[in-house]
Amino acid sequence: MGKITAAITGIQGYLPEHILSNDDLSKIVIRTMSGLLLELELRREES
Amino acid sequence: MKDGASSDMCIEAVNGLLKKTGNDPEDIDLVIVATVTPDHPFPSTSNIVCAATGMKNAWGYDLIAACSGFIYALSTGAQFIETGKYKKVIVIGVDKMSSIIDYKDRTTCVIFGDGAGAALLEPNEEGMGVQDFILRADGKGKEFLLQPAGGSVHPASIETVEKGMHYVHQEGKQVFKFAVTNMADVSAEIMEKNNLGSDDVDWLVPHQANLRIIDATANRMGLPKEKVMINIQKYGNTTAGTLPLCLWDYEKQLKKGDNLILSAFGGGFTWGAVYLKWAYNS
Repeated sequence: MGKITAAITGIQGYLPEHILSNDDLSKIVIRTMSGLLLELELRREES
Repeated sequence: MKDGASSDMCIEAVNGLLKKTGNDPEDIDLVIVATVTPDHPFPSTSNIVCAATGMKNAWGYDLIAACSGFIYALSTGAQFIETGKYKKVIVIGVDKMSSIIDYKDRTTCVIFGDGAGAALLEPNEEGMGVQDFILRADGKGKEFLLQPAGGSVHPASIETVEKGMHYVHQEGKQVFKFAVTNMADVSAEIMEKNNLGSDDVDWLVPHQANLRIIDATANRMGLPKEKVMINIQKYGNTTAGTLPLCLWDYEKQLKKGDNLILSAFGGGFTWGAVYLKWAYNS
């Protein structure tokens, strides 16, 4: 009997249906940037 | 992924794998889940997957090696087959990176994705399957890529949440520097160790973190782009999921006897390569 090796005999993937698009991300980032700018503005006013 | 956990992706992948390969869930001996986003610190995601899919004769465990998780798990799982202990082992790479990503951090939120891939390992007497592996780790790299809180160093608290310590922290330049060198080096090393020239390698299956790292690895191995599996443009970096998802995507192009080099680098640092002969035609 030859040497036993471990072979991949099947492969299967799964991906979530929901896809976060570049457009979705850019909205989040823009919103975040707006929030940061607002926060900086508020801090400046406080000081 | 809006709803659900890592185990839910594993369950979908495993159910599909069992159906596709015509296996009964009760025939599976062992399930290894490579992940940095388990459902819980305990019980293991493997336990949850076994129960949900009817693999009632299997035991299993989770394995943490970040982006190198699948090659660590594959190499480990292969030992149970090679020793003759088990006949059917399922190795899963899964991550729900969206659960630990700060979507205010532009340097990480555009990179990572969610996904799972499951591979069935069985004994082979024709010389197919895992031929060799080289696995490496260097804990000095821990500060450059990690999830700082949620473990025993910084248990969850109001402070850790407020400081965003449950999100991925990555120092991209440092990680890139280590990754580009070590992934290329270990891939070249496993070729040399097994007397493989660039003509002998049919496919490079690289971790999908960064196209420049993938290109550098392929160049070092002397491989043209046609021999490199790439799907980062579709799914992003799914951490432990990238390699099995590549194999799944390219499965129809793979032929029995093809020489594959799987290569990865990840948090820890961890890295390594597996030399594998593909065992079947689709």
